[in-house]
Amino acid sequence: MTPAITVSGVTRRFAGSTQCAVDDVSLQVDRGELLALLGPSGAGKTTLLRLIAGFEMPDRGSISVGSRVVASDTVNVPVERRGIGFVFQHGALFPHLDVRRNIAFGLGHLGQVERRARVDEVARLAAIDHLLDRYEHELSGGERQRAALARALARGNEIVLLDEPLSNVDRPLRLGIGTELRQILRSAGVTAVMVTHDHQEALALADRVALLNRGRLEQLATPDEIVAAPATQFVADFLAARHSPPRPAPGYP
Amino acid sequence: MTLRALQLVSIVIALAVLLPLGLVAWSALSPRFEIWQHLIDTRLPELVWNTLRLLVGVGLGAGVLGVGLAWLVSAYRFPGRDQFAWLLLVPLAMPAYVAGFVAVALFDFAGPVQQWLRDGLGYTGWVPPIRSWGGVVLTMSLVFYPYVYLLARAAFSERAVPMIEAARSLGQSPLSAFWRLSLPLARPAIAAGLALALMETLGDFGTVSVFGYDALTTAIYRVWFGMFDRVAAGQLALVLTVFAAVLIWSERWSRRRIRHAPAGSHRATLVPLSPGRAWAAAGVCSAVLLVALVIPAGVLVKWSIQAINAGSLASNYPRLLANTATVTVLATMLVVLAGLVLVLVRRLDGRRFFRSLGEVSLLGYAMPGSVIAVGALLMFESVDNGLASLISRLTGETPPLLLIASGAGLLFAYMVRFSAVSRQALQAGMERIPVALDEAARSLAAGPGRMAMRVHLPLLRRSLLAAGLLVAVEVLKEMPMTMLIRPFGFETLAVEVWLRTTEAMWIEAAPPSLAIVLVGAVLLALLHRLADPLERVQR
Repeated sequence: MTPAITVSGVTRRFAGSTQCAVDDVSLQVDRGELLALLGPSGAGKTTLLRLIAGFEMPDRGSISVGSRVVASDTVNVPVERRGIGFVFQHGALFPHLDVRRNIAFGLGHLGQVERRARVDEVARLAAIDHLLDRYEHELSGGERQRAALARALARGNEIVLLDEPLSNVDRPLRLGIGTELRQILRSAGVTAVMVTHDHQEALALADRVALLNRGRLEQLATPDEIVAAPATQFVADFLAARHSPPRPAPGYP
Repeated sequence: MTLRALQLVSIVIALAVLLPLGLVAWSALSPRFEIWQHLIDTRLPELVWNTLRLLVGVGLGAGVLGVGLAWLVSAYRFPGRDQFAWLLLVPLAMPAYVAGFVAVALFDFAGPVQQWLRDGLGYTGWVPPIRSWGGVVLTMSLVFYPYVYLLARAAFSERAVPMIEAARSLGQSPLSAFWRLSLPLARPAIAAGLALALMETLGDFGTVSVFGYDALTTAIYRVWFGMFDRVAAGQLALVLTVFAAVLIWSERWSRRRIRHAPAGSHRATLVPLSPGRAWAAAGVCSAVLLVALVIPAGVLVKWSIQAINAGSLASNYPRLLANTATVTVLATMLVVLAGLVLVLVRRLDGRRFFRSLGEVSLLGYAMPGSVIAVGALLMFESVDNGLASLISRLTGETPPLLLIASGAGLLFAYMVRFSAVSRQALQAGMERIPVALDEAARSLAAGPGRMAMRVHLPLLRRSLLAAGLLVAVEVLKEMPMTMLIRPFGFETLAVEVWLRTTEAMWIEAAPPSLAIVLVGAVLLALLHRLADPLERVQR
């Protein structure tokens, strides 16, 4: 069976920087799994996620979704035609639309009845059917991310990418909400890639963990394997750190 | 509307700004050196000197008033501080030419003040003449300081709060923190405010002509209408353009290597003053308001009542109001739309070319209205003459000059001059919309058009309203361009004020002036309510 996502030799360097944000990374994401991209600030996790989504273009290498090449030297399939849903760090719910209209935003191609049915369906899946009339500012951090996930799932994408979905959830609640998100992803039957800088989160939630450092892939393995046999000194040190690195400053309130 | 259409429109807007300016330069550089020579031999040195010392004087006056008042209201607590904070902006509603004619009428030889000195006190000695450099500088400083005040206040109250608090914790007094931190940190904002005030000074035509002060703008008008000499007018306009270019450049230069200090997460707490100083602060603010707003407005009210009682209210007054309202509403819609297109294109297509199109619109605001008017007229003449000869060949009749006669030319000129105002207001709003929302919309398969309509427009609603109010105030006050480009016989409040003041009919000029000031003040009050909900919440 072809993997859901194939990343081969992808490199991305930003203008004005001497170091590659993502440096010759290759990995595969299997169908239905939840892969965590783990690493310290500046490791290239988010850049890799945005490359898969299509918000960034690789300088070298290629990316395939299923058997279709979506990014290479000659191909660049735009975001909206990759069939990939994206959950942003702070949810990025449209503040002027309620949850229902946020979820329906990407369903313009459906008729009214179908659209309504689809919204109700994903809302039930994400356990936010009671929140459909609320606006972003009336939701808790966890509710916000569930709504954002519902919006990303609504179009029936088989892949969902999540960029630090738990970063603005209070620390004691993180694992609980992370588990909820994972259950939603599971019952939707989608493949997911999630960025995090918190190794507890990654080890507890993901099927496999890809550990990145300075744009390079250090190790890709299941949580058990990675804890039992760290591939490099960096992996061992990173997992041994008693405290997670500090949260990055939020981009907007 | 698709992205392609938006891009096309934004290119047209940039061309619209560049074309009149290019025509001015072209006509000025056409090989008629004898006119240049004549200008240089006769009036030019004097005109340049007059303009230069006007800029220096107003720069100092408006700078000291604007920065000083901004510092008072953003650092200290004193009686009435919250009201003064926005009342001090209201003189912006007073067109400079209105303040000018009120000052001349009050303080000239025949005016009430000198009469009172002579008859009441029997004083017949020397009185400082109002029609002088000092008189113009004082008047303009009082109406243009709000530009400096507005930008300096924003910088003082938001930018450097954490740093000021750090300085205070290191043992600096509030005053020394002002000199060592606030002032240097606010320098870019102050420079921007000064640049605005000086652009207004440079472009002003009404005030200097009321004062009989010869500046470049009055010379352009005289040469164009008095001597019908397009080339000489173009050449003078070019000299004026050089002044404006130096202004823009020095504002940029003053900001070199300065990044905006990070905005503070909270506002400064106000320092309470001792009772004596607190009343002194309130006194200073009241005095400025009294001189800049209350007295001139009071005089206008008194004269308006006299005019109405004497039955000398112009019979076309309702027409004037209707004309002004029509022009203001149409121009505001056009200008806001133009700004919106520029801002949307910049957001949806990040390429440098489209980003710089917006910057081009700044040129229009920096250019004095009379320069744009000259350029636009040069342009319309050729287009209109072409149209006219085409029509007369087809129908055998000689039609009027279409673009100018229909008023389309006037709206075009407003767009050239003011799209920068709406663009700046909308750009500020656009920057508050997180880019993640655009990416979310894209990942949900929304194309640029849908993104603009469903995400950007609804979130820009407040900014659109603010941009509209700002532009409306500008259009309402605008006089030199309206004067030069208006269709024959088409009069607005501003034109009426100017026509009456050139005949020294102060009483008759008062009612239309009062209408401009009142409507302007109402628009500014609305703007204040719109712009600063944060300030009210935090009080």
